[in-house]
Amino acid sequence: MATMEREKLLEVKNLKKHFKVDRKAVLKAVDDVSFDIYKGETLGLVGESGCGKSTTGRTIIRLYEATDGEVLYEGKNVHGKKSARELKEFNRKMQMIFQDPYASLNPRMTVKDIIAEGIDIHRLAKNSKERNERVYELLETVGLNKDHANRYPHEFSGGQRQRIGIARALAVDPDFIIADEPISALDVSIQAQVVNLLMKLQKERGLTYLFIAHDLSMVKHISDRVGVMYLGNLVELAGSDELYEEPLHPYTQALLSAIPVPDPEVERSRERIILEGDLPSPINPPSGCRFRTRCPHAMDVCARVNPKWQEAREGHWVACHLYDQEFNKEGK
Amino acid sequence: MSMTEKKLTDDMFQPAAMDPGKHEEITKPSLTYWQDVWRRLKKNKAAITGLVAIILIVIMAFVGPAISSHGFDQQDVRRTNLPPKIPGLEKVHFLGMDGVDIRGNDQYKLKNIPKDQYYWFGTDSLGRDQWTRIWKGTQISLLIAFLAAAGDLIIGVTYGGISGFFGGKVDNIMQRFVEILYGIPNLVIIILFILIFEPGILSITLAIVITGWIGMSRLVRGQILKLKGQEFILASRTLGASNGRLIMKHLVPNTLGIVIISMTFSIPGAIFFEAFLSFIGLGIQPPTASLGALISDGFKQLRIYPHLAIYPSVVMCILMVSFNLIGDGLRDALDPKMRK
Repeated sequence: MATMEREKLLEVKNLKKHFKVDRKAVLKAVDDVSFDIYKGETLGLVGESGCGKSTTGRTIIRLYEATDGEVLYEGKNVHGKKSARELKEFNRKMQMIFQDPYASLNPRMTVKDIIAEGIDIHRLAKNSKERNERVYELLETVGLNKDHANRYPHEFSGGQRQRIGIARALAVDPDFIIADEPISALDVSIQAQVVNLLMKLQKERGLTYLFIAHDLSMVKHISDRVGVMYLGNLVELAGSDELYEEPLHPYTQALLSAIPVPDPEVERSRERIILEGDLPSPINPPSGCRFRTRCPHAMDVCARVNPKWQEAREGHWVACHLYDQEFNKEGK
Repeated sequence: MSMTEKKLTDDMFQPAAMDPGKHEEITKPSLTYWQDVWRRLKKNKAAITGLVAIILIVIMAFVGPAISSHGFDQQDVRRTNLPPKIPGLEKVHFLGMDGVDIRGNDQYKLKNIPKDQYYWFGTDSLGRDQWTRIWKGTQISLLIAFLAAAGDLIIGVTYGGISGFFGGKVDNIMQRFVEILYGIPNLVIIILFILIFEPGILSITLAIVITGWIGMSRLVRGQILKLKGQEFILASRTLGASNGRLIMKHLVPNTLGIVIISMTFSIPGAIFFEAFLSFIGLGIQPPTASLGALISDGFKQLRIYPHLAIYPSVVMCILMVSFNLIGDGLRDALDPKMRK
């Protein structure tokens, strides 16, 4: 695969984020997740609600302190004690786009001040004239115009607000952007607009994205590689075409079978894999493989041993005993 | 059921001229947050009435004592307990502004007051002009109320802000302290406080503030806790904003609304509390007057000289109702859910 020779921008190693719920219970929102993101690519992250996608994104950008594990950005650890200068450097390189366009803009600030916040914090403009010019330029980049600069967020539509959020992230010239479900709160007609803008910006500025979403078709459209999460674990990671054509993990197979096909003939005969039971609580997850309680192919070994995160095929990683040489002979 | 089928041809259609830039245009005039609040407040007639009444009372509190020729502590034992007499209105007898007491005697004639001497709201048992004393008292009541509200604001916002922003252990300890303070009946604290310090404007204010800030601090803490997890705060954090910037630029402006509402409700509360303290004899000491002290004095002779209690009570009622109306109006105007 072409991506293999590419330079790694971000390495996530055994990342864990646990929240203390009360004195005894610990919620393992992200548990031992490892993946790499290559320069210039888009890595999609999918999974059902509450599986830890957003927590992963927020832990990478240091909104949450990691419980364990490392996040290396260009070989440097993002977590741990940092001087103010080092922190600011990371803040400029890594940015985030948020899910809710209604909550992600301060209602008391003008659009100009919202977009210029990064410019102010990092002192990127020498005077107010330069600051204004940068803001106008950013507004144009995201398809708005400079008349909008002095208005307040409540005057804009959802799609416009989301684009303001994108302009704010771009203001500090980042290389890497975490898009935390940037389109799930938008109208379908506006979703395409925002996704196209993101793809255009990637082409123009060589951006790298971590794209978190639960809209499977949209993720396939925008991502080069896709990771699937289940209950705080990464269960499968592969190139997006390969993953969608040949999913290995039983969870991925069930997930992908839920995508409707825009062809009534095929749709009628489409076979869905319906999972039994409910999503277990992440406070008290099942032993061994976390998916075993709902897995149609569960074996005895699944309850005892954690599945290894391994490369089943070239560039196709999966955590399942079905693809482990050691256990494959036992059951199936 | 025959439908005339018309053949649709290409030449029947024309591409609509649509400028892509036009699509993003916003035609509504740009309003700042406070302009918007004012626009909504203006529509609320009750709130505007309250606002006008408060402005009039405040003006009168300062102008009133000056336009009367009598001083607020000028005593004259020959002119005690005079009923109200107002030039012009003295001819309309049923208004009770003609200097005639409840027994039907013209006290001004009996006490040989010169024809050109008027006491608009009458005099009290020491012969002091009630008009001057009422406005002087209003002045002092308002002063105490505003000082107490300012004290609530400063302590409450700081305490609640710190507690909410830092959260965790800090929040835990600070909230337990508040609960202990809240558990002690505040009347006991206030009475002890006034007994130790001499009753005066400052000590009454302090006594009101000492427990009054708790409500404000809880409101602010709740608001900050809610805002802290909002995405615009997270966005500011990912941009590298310092705590100071987060507080000054994002958190404080967004709590301002509820702080103002809470203040407009704590002002009448403080006025009422001061009146209560004066009524039980722990308030402002004579010859200084406050509305509460005046009502307390007048109450003693309510059946003989009702004018002594009625006028200060009317002023106080108008003041309290007005503040409550304004508070209500502001709450509606500041609440973003009411936005149309």
